[in-house]
Amino acid sequence: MKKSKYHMQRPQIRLAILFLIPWITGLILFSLYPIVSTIYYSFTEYNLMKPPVVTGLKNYMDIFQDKNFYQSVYNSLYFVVVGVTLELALSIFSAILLNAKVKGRGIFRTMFYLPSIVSPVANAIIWMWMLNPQYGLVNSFLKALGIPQPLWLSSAQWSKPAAILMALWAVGNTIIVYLAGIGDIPTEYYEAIELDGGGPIAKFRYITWPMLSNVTFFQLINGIIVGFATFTQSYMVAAIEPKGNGLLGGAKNSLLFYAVNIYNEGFRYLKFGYASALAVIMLLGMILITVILFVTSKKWVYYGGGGRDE
Amino acid sequence: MSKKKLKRAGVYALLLLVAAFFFIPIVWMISTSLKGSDEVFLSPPRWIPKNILWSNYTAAFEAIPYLKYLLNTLQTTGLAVIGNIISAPMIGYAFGKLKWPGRDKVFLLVIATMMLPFSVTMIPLYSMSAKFGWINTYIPLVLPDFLGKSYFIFLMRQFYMNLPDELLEAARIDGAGEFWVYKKIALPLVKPAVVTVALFSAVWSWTDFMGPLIYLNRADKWTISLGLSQFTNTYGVDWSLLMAAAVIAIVPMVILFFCLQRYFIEGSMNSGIKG
Amino acid sequence: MRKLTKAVSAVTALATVVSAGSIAVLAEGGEEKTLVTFWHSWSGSEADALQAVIDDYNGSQDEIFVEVLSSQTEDKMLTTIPSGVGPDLVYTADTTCSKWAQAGMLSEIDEYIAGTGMDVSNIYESEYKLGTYGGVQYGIPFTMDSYMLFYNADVLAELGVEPPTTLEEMAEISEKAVLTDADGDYTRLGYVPDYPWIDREEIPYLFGADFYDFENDEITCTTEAFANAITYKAGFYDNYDRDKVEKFKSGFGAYASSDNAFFQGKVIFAIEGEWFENFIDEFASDDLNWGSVSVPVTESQPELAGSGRLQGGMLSVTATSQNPEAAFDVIHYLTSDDAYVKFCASKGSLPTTYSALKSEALISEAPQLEKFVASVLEGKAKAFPAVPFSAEYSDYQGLAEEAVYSGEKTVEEALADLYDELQPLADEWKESR
Repeated sequence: MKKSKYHMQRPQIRLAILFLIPWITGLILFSLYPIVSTIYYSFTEYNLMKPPVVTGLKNYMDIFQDKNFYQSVYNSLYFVVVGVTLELALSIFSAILLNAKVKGRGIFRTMFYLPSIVSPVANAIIWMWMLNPQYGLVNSFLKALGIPQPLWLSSAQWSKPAAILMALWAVGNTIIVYLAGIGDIPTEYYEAIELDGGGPIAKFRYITWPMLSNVTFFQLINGIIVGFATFTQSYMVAAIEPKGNGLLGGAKNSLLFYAVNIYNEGFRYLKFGYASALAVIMLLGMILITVILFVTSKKWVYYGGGGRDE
Repeated sequence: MSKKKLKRAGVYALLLLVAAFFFIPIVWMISTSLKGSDEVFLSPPRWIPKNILWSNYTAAFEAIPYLKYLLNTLQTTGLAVIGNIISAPMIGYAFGKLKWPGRDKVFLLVIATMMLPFSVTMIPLYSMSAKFGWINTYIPLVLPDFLGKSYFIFLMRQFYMNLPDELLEAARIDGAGEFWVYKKIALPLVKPAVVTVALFSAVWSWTDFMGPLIYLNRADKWTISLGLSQFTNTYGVDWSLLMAAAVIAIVPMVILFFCLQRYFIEGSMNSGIKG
Repeated sequence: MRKLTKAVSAVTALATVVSAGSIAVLAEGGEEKTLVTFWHSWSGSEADALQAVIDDYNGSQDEIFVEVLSSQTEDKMLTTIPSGVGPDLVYTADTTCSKWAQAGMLSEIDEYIAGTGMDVSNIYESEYKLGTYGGVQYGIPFTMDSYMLFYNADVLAELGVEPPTTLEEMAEISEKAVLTDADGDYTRLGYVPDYPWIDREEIPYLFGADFYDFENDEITCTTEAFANAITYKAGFYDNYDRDKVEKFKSGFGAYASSDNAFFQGKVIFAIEGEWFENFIDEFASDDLNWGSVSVPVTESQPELAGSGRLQGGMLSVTATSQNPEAAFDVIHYLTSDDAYVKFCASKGSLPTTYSALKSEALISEAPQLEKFVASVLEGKAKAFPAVPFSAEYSDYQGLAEEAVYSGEKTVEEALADLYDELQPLADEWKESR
C-alpha cells in the first residue's frame, strides 16, 4: 500500500532529489562538519592548537557544577519566554494594523520596518543611548510622568527587560512574515464572519489566528532559536561601558546569556572543549523543544494545503 | 458611515501609537546625529538641536571610504539575494509540497542546523574556508545563500504548505511535468514569500558584521557594517558621529524597502484570486 | 519576480565591475618580499603612530614587507591563527600571553632572540616576565602603562585643599567635592573607584596585596592586604548612593573625547596612565586646570608609594606564522632605540627597554612622560603575575566585588568564595606542568 503510494510519486521524488542537491551540499559543507566536530570536542579538553585530549564525560559533569551555567540558563529562559511571547504579540498586532486599508499604509510599513534595517550593533547602541539613565529619552519621559526611573542596563534587575526591548524593536521581520501570511487569507472568510455579526475579536479568533498558525509556528521555533543565540546586546554593552576589562555578563552577570557564556568559556578562557559541551547541551535542549512543538503542532497549526507536520 | 469613520480613526490612533515605539528611536538617532556634544549631554533632552551640525555627516563620510564600502556591500548583498531567491523556493518546495519518504524527519535536520551558536561553529567554518583558500573573498559570505539558508527554507515551506494541493493535482492530471508545476503553478502563488526572502536576505547581508569581520582581512574588501565598527573604538563611543554613520549606513536599505513594500500590497491582492 | 532578479543581478554585476576596476588601481607592488602580517587593537591616532614606524621599516630594507591591520580583536586572532592564514605578528594584552602560550598559539622566540642578539637584560624585568611561560619566552613587551593621580586643580583650590598624598585624604576631599542637583542626583563626584577601569588590580597593589604566590601555587586573594583594598573600595559605596552613582556614571561621555568625565569636571580625581596628557592636549578645553601626583597610598603604609600596577602589551609571533623569523625581525626593529623612541614619543607611551626609557630624545620630544619614566625606573610597580587564568581572575574578582558592594556578601565571604573558585584553576595548572 505504502510502496505504491510512493511509486505514484516517483516524478516528485526525482524533482525533490534535484532540488535538494544544493541543500545537501550546504549541509555537508557548512553544517555537518561544525556539528560533528563540536560533538567530538565536547568529550575532550581542547584549546584550538593542540590535539584534543579525550576526557570522556568530564566536561558534562563539570557543567552541572558550574554556577555560570545555571545563571545563563536562567537568563536565556527569561529572555526567550518573555521576549518571544511579546515579540509574537506585538508583531501579529502590528501586522493586522498594517493590513488595514488606510491611506499612508506604505509609510507606516516603512516606519515599522525601519528598525529592522538598522544593524544589530547599531540597534544596541541606539537603545543604550535611549535607555541611558541620565540623558536617555526613556527615563526623561518616565520622569515627566512621575514614574521611578530604572537604571536599565546598569542594574541587574532591569538589564534583561532592556535587552528584550532591544529585541522587540527589531521585530520588523516577524511583522513582514505575518503580513505576507495575512495577505494569503481569503477576504471571503472575513465577510462570512461579518454576515454572522462577528466583530474584530471574532474575526481574529476564528479566522486570523488559525489561518496564521502556520506562520506563528514558524516564528515561534525561529524565535526560540534566535533567542537562545542572543549575543550582540551583551557584547555591545560590554564594549561601550569599558569598566569590566572585557567581561560580557553585564551587572551581576544578569546579561550572561547562554550563547554569551559559551563565547566566554571558548574565546576568553580558551576552554573550547567545555564550550562545545555547553553547545551540545543547547543543541539537545532545542531539538527537544522543537520536537515537542512539532508534535503538539498537530493540535493547533492549520495548513491551507491540508499538510500536517509529523 | 460615521461608524466606519470612527473605526478608521481608531485604526489610525493605534497605528500612530505603535509607530511611535518603532519610529521615535529613529528620530532620536537622527536628532543626535546632528548635535554637538554640548547638546548631546543635556537633561531634559532637546529634540531639535539649536545648533545643527551637518559636519557630523561630513566627518562620518570622511572617516571611512564610504563609496568603496558601498560598492563592496552591494556585491555581497546582491549575490546573497540572488542566491536565496533561487535556493530557498526550490528547497522549500521539496520540503513543503513534494511528497517523498522521510520528508518531515529530514526537515527537522534543516531546523537543527540553525541551532548551534556562531561561537562554536565559527572556528571550524573558518578553518574549512582557509583550506579552500576562501579567506579575503566573498565566497564564504555568499555561498551558503546559494546552498539554502535554513530560515528561508523553513519560511518558504510554511507558505507552500498553505497552498491547496488540488491546484497542483489538477495540473498533474492535465499531464504537466513536475518542474512545470513548480515553476508555473506553485512559485507564482508564493511570490509574496519570495519577495520577503529577497528583502530579509538583503537586510541581513547588508548588516552582517561577524562574517565580514572574520573573513575579510583586507580593508579594500570591507563592507559598510565593518566600516561602522570603526566608530566605536577602544575608548568608548562618540555618540553623534556614530549615529551619523548609522544613518548613512541604513539609507540605501530604506530606499530598497520603500520600493519593495509595493509587492506586499500586491501580494495581499493576489489572495482574492486564490481563495 | 523576474524583473526583481534581473535588477539585483544588474546592480551586483555593476558593483563588481566598478569595484574590480578600483582594486586594480589600488593594488600595490612588493610581491617579491617576504610578507609579515601584523594585527593590533589600536585605532585612530595611536594606529597612525605605529604605521609611521612600520613605514620606516618597510622603506629601510627590501626583504620584508609588513602589512598592518588595525582594530583587530583577540577573538578574531584566535579564530584565524589555528587555520594558518592568520597574522604572523600580534599585539595583545600582556596578561593574554601566558594563556595563549599555554594553548600553543604563540611561537617560542628564544632562538630568534639569540639569533638577532637582542639584549633582553635591557627590557624591564617584570614586564618581560609576563612574556615567559614555562621557562620559554613567547612575547616581548612593547607598551607599559604606569599610573598617576590626575586632579582638577581649580576644584581643589575652591575647596582650599592640597593634592592628596594618602588614600584617606583622597576619600575626605572626594566627600567635600560632591555636588548634587535639586533631585539629589550627583553632578560632581571626587573619585569613582571603578572609573575609568584600572582599579581592579591597581588598588590591591596599593595596599600591598599580591594576586598569586608562585612558590606555593596559591591564589592570594584572602590576605589581609587584599581584604583591606576591597574594604576601601566598598567604603566608597557605603558613603554614596550606589544607584545614583551608577546613574551619574552612565552620563559620562566617550573617554577619548572632550566629554571625558574628568575634562568635564564631573570627577575631580582620575588614576590615569602616561597617555592621558596627550588626551588632555587633544580633547580637553584650555580652561581645564589640572595637575598630577603619584598615586596615593594608605597613611599606615607610606613605604608602598609607587607600588601600583604596570599594565602592558606584548608583541608575539604566532605559532602558525609562515615567516616567524621575519616577524621577529620586525619586533627587533620596533624595540630598537630609534624606532622605539619615535613611536613612544608620538603615541605618548612608555617604552619597555631601559635604554629607550633613559633616552634624552624621548623626554625632549614627549616631556609629559618624564614623571612616568621616573616612577617606572623606581622599580616598585608590579605587573600582573604570568598565570594562564588571568581572564578568569579578573572576571571572578569583578563579580566578587559586586557582591560586596550590593551588600550580598561581606568582604571576607566574597574573597573566600573567590579563592574557592580560582584555586582549582591554579591546582590544575600546577598539575599540567
